[in-house]
Amino acid sequence: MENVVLKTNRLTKVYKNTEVNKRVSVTINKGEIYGLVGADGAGKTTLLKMITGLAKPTKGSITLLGAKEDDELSAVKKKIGFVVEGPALYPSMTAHENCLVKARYLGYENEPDYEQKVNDILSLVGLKDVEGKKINDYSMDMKQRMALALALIGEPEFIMLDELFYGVDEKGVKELREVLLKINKDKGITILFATNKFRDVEGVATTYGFMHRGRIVREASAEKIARELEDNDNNVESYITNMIQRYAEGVR
Amino acid sequence: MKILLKNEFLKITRSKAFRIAFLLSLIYVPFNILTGGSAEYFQYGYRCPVVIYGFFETCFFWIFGAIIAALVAGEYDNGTIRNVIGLGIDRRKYFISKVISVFTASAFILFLMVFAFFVVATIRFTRWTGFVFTGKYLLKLLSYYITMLVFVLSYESIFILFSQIFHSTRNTFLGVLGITLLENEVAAYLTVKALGRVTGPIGTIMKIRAFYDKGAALDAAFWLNLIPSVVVGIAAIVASYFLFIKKDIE
Repeated sequence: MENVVLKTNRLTKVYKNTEVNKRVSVTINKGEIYGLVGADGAGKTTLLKMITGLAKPTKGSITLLGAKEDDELSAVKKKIGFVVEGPALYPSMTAHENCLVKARYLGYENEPDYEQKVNDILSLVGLKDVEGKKINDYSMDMKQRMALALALIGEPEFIMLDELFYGVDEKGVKELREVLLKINKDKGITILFATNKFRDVEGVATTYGFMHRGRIVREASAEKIARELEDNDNNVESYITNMIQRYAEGVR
Repeated sequence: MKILLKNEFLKITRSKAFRIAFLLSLIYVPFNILTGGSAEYFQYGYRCPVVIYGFFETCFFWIFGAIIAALVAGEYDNGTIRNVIGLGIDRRKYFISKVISVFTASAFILFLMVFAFFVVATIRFTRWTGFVFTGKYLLKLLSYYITMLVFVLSYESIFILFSQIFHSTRNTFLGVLGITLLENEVAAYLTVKALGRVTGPIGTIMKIRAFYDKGAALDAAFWLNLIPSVVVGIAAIVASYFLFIKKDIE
């Protein structure tokens, strides 16, 4: 159990009489990069919102870094970073000021070498040159990088990223994928990456979870999916669509 | 709580809306007085000096509405509210820190507005305002400031409720404009037509003007006029608090 970072047990969310998430059970182990793949509206964001406490589950339970009860969960949330539903930034502030706001919430502002740590994070995500600019002047690509930088403030053990590559060009995606691999390898940060494009997490994720209409229809290791892809002549689009469809029918 | 407040004040000082509202109010108050008339004003059955009337006009509540829209509802538009709640920050403490910070910022702006108003008005209209630098001047000024503060905070409480209902800067600001126009124009017009004199919130403002006109701004009866505003303000804040605690962050 100590190795488990996140475990959701039959998590269900009902919005206006519609089940957006249906009995979702996911287990993510320490050091994993979990690629949560599903089309728009599959329920990925709602799942992340329940995990972060932004939405209350209708049914089911969440165990995050060993904490299950509300009070314990509030305490361990300081050890997680996340980007849910796009970059959430203060537009009139600079990169450093945005970091300061989060650092204060975490009580991280007075850490030794705080400034150095923030500078390292901004360098890591490629924003060191524009750190003095206001977020208003950032492109979408830069905002996504800034959102990732914020998620990394406070040395989290686990980060959840929702459509981080939205609005990022091909070169940027490549750079950010390398950043994710680096922080996973060097800092041991466990990552949950939600996306509607399999390509975003291909070669990065160690485990995949495929979501369809509010359910996790399949979980598989990266090796297994890679083998199946090879068997399908690496035709990613059709393989993913058909596979999700096939498994969705199986869990009905 | 101290850290939450520190962050809230950082957000306020960096907020573009706050800076614009602050500058607008400081420019507009003296401008309004210097370009206004000096005759006594008679409206809705109450008589008062144009200086007092002018200030109530210039105190346009929408300035404070814009601040609330940007600082409270803006957190939903930016999505930054997710960063706070997702970190496990206690929602109750966060709400209280937000309210304290926007109320303090508004009290500060209002103080500067009243100060600017009286400096310019005293210079221009000393002859008949009565607000000269005599013994009771500061007390009168204080009563005037407190009266306006009660009105502003009461309105702001309603605006905070709007922002918790709409979770959107634009809709909150439209709500602010709507209620300001409804109360100050439509309701005033209709009650004057029906009753011959204005009632409701604008009526209270008129009564208060009359207290100033009679030089009775420090009388006990004067303060009773503020009770309805205090009650409405508290009710709106309590409703906002429960909405914030219970609602999911979309």
